Amino acid sequence: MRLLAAGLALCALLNAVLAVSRRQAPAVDEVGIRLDERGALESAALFGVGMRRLASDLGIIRMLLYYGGEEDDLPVGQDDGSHDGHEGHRHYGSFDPEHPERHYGGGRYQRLGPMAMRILDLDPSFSYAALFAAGALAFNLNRPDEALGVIDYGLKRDPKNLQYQRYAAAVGCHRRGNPEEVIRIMEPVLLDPDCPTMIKNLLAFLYYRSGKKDKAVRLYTDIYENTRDQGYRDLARRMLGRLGAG
Amino acid sequence: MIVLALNHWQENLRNRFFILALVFSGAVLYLSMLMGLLATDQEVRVLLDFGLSFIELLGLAGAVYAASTVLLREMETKTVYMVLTRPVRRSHYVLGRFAGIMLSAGAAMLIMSAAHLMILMLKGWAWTPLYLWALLGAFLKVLVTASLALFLALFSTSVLSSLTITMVLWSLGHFLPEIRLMARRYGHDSSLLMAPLNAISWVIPDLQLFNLRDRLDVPAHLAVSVPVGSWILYAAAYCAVWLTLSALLFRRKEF
Repeated sequence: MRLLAAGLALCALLNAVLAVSRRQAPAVDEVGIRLDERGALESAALFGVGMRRLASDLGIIRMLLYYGGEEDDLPVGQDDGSHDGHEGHRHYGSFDPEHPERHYGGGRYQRLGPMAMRILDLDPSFSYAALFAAGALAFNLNRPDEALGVIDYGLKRDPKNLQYQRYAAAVGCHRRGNPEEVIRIMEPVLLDPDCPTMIKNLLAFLYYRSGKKDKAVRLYTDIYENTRDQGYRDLARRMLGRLGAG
Repeated sequence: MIVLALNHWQENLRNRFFILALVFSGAVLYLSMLMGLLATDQEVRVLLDFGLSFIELLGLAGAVYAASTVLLREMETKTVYMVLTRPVRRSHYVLGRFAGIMLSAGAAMLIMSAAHLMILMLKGWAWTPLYLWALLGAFLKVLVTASLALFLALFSTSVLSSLTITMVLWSLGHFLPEIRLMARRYGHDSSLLMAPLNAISWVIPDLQLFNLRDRLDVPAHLAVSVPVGSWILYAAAYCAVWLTLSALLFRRKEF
């Protein structure tokens, strides 16, 4: 017993020295964590073994599967006028070259924003999740207010993140119906190796709509050659065909 | 002591658990590749995180299991006599065995990380030395936890209780910043309720300190920088405390 007490006392001393040497460092994320009931147990278990990043990775996989699959949270008896398309997505009629964004990403996806926020709770530096969700909400699902909510949530945790600021400005321009300004603001985002394919797709479409066919072809080719998402690859192939570059 | 460590390492290499761990690591790396496919744009990140996490977990499982069982088993089977009848100090015996466990765990983690790195490179991951720091952090976590498990096994003379307590402490060690925040936030209103929690937070190891894989690509302005030397020193000191006490406890044992 005396040995155990000696050990505990020495450990307390060690921890005290460490605490003093780290007193300048922020202890934990003060914004707080809101665990979604659907994944609370899993997140708590992963937290318990020190795998926060892994918990956020599972979160992004779940979010991508949710957004890439058929919705299961539409209110009963409410039809949004869409029908199931490829990969179970709800699509608005057959492929419409004037609105290719509807071919991929239409629907409601009410949980998209909260899912992204939960990922940020788990890993505040994982901006991809917030940018993906904000892009989808603003440009595909036409819910810019929710998109700005997600961006704002990300900015609270990472105020210096330029991508969040760019997205916020682009969402504002999109709301005012100014695609040229959206292009100008979002073009630098393409240089980021973490740029979501969905945003590349949006910009390629805006290039196409504004007559910048060379840029559209270049971007669609990039999507076709590099993305691992079959849905976007198919879309890029179709658009390249329409642009005469297929 | 070195002979004892090498001897234990060789024993472990022949052990089925070690081989099983390596086979299992192959399966886990395969699983992480499947998960990576689901993450589309974030495939490399998912591969990196899954791989590093499971390398740490497998290293931990092997080291904690060995630390909890090795001395008790040798005392039970009386093989400890064969060593202690020679001019070997009891403390050297404990330290030699522990060094052997850590050599085995380190070797297993290195082999697994070589396979992991190969997969990452094939997927186009850009090499960063932070990977090695993350691996070192994982190893130090395993080292600290195994030293605690060794002491608990000798103290409780029960493998099961040693394993259980070690895993509880491992888990609490990752919640340390949250425990301290909780104690700080509610300490004024419910000081009695928070007192035991506060006390625990001062004796369990701060394992979150070694979690460098959680900070692999965190932007500099968000990163909480802790000097490398300080967390290596912390691990060494923490490990030294429990190993010294284990040696003292073992010296008092009567066979």
